Amino acid sequence: MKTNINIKNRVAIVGAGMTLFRRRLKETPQELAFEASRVALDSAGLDVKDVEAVVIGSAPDAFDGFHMKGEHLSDGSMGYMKPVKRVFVGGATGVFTAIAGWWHIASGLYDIVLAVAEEKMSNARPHPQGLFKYIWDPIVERPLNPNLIWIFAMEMHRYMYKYNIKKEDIALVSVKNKRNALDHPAAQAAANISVDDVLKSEVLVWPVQRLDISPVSEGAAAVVLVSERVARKITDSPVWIEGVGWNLDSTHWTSRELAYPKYLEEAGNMAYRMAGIENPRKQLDFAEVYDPFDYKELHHMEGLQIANKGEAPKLTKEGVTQRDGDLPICPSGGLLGVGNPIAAAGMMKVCELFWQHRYEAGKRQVRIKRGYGLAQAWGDLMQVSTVVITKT
Amino acid sequence: MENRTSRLLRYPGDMEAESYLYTVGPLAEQFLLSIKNEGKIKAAYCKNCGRLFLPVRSFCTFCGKEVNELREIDQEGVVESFSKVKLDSFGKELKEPFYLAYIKFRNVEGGLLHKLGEVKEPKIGMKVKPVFKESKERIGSLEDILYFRPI
Ligand SMILES: [Zn+2]
Repeated sequence: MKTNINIKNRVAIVGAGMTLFRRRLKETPQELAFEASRVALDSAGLDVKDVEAVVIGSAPDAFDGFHMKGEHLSDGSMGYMKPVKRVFVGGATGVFTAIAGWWHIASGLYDIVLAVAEEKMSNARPHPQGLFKYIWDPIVERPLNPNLIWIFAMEMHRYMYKYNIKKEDIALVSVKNKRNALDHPAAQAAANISVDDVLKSEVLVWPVQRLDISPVSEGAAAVVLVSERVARKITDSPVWIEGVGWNLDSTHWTSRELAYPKYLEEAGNMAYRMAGIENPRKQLDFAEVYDPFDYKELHHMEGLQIANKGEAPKLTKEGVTQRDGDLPICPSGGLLGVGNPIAAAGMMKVCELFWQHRYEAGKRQVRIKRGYGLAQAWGDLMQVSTVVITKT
Repeated sequence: MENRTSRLLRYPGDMEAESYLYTVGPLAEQFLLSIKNEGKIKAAYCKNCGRLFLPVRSFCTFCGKEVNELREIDQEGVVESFSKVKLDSFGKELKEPFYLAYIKFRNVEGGLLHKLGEVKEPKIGMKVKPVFKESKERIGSLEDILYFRPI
């Protein structure tokens, strides 16, 4: 049943754009944000003067190497002399940027909002992974000098142990997403690989291997959001945002359930209630779930109740999640295939919702039978999930 | 004992990357190269709205269109505002206090932040021009300009 929430405006996506995703691009952060914004506005048939407010999403300032990164990006994001706000929830920022854009309009404050996400990962030396060192508690965690991959390795291991999942079943996600990305014009890590390639790739932190992980990338992505009033005037095919949700688990990594992302279940339920979705497995046409690691796609499918606990690998093995399957997951190619410029990666997923609903996804196109799509991202201190549900 | 307690209440740390290599951007690169090779400050030119602007970037803040051209501008600048810097950022007195200025150029939106030199008493509205390093010492940086001096 649809929850009766008090919103002033129904919100539609009417334009989307993104840059190439690459390890290093010659443009500055502002210029990347500009390129994505420009393409998004052009695809909506709108111009800078039409934009009433701008929402910017970007991950830690330390990546680009500018403090006040949102403000730094505002000129490039069509934000000059406009109400501009940056939002930031770590890796979940890209989807959250669209959510923040949604509430700018749903609240009745604005009719036309540009939501832009950008990440420059090549500035920091010697490697941006070093910056993650500073997300740990300085007293009880940092003395062990952990990095993110250590922690994901333990989460992955716990997930495998609890549901008796094999590495070769998890590797199928990487194979699928990298192959899907062959059809994405902006992709950085598209490839035709086999399960064997994944299993034989370099072991980083067991059980995590090189081909289980998305690459380090930079790039930008943007969407144009408008109220129903404007949408009806400027397009015949608006993509409605029907539900949004977000939720955080405990700050402390050691206080969380590793095998199952309960916080994502909560975030998903918030969005499902708003959209009136009672059975996501049966009602969604496709989902862009967050896949920085192959096991995370499975983990997230379960948290989103697209699969029962421990059964996402089975759906994957049966081909349900392939582009021609009953519920395609990451038809874009995801972070594993298209690339992972943190905030921009989540926004790329929202862009994919737009292109898929409008049948503009080219070779990546899935069949829209029931009308609903979903994008999800995950981040902060690995305890937040953000969800957007769209409808044709 | 007291010392030990206070030490235990802290945990030493550091923050951020070891270093950064910032992306200059395609048009700003030309801006720096024209300082290096020609000893000239150039501005970005938007062919959509006709504005010249600094600092150089490959999009127009005003009309939201792509920009891919630099144009020569009058090298004579005007001091929009200035200040005398006497202490460093840590409160230490500078051996040689200096004048910092915001300099604008004719028909150009925005401007540059730089130092003033060869001047006793600067004034707002004063006309100035850039003094460059010897061409062989220039590397393609804002530091290739030593300072701006009164005309
Ligand atoms: Zn212009």
